[in-house]
Amino acid sequence: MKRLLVVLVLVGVLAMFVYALTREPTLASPLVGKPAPAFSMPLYAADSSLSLAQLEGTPVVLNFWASWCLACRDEALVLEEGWREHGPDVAFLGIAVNDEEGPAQAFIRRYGKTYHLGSDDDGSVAVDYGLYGVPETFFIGRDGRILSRHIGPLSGADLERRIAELAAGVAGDASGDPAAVQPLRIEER
Amino acid sequence: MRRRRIAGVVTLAAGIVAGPALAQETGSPAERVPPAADALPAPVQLTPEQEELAAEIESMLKCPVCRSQSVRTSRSFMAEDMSRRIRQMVAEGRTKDEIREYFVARYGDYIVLAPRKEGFIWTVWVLPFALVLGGAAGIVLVARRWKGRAPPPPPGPPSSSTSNYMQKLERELEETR
Repeated sequence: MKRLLVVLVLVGVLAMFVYALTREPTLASPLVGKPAPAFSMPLYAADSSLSLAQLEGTPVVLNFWASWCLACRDEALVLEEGWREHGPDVAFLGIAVNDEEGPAQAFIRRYGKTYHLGSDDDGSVAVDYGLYGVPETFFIGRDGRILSRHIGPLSGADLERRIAELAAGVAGDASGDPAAVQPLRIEER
Repeated sequence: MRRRRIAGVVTLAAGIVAGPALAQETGSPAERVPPAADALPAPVQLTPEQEELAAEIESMLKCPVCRSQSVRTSRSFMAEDMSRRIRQMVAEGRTKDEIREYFVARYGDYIVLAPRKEGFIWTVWVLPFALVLGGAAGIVLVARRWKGRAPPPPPGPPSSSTSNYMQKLERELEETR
């Protein structure tokens, strides 16, 4: 009996260490329920910038993307269609991270994007939002709080569900597919 | 930078192995050129004491897009962005705890390389040492017990079955001579 107890304790300790060593980031963001970090981004379409504060009182779909990200191509048209259907009652913002202006502009033209698209030149917005990769989308309520985060490409159904939550002002569950996220580029600077 | 030399070798090796596949998957190589150095913000200037603090915090935080690498050892874009933020916050006079909490509030406890020394988390720090000490004490106890044991009894007189066997053996040896 004593031996069994010792073995059980050892197995438990070992399991804790294996868990600690292999734990991965989860879908849930600690930022959900908290005020969305403020930012200002230079816009690609105009020689000006847009800040989150300018959209106060409007629900926001904040999408992080990059021209080099395959999964971002999958959701590009979904977001544009969502904007055309729900804007300007719901603001759509796209922030390109770790990207260059040329390829980013080409991406915008290719998918006919018309909502607010800008860049995070120094990566500070990505860090403020605890980004792991792209695409990631945050849904910000009228009161400026983050209601949910979606990891990976959005489907039309995902977007509609999230927009309904935004309209109702209720927090949604974490959703998405972490495997579909491309980590922010890991090459040397 | 010298401090990132080892991580650089690892990243370079990974890049050599994974580079062609990534390039094919994510677009043409021309699309993947990193931003020009002049496009990046100027580095934050710190005093030697602040540099030391920034280095300590960078070593404490995990690079979220790398496997088991700290912000200090990683050369990823993400780690560079995090490092810049850490340096900005140090320059603003924020404390180590404040900066750690800033990152935990965004990424969760996952972002901290070493668990915090508080509450139940103390067990993670104490348990390995307790196990090693307990194991050593166990070995000493077992060794003492073995040492204290009485020596095995000397072999007794041969039993009847053994002597029968010996007699049979001797008879067979006689016959072969």
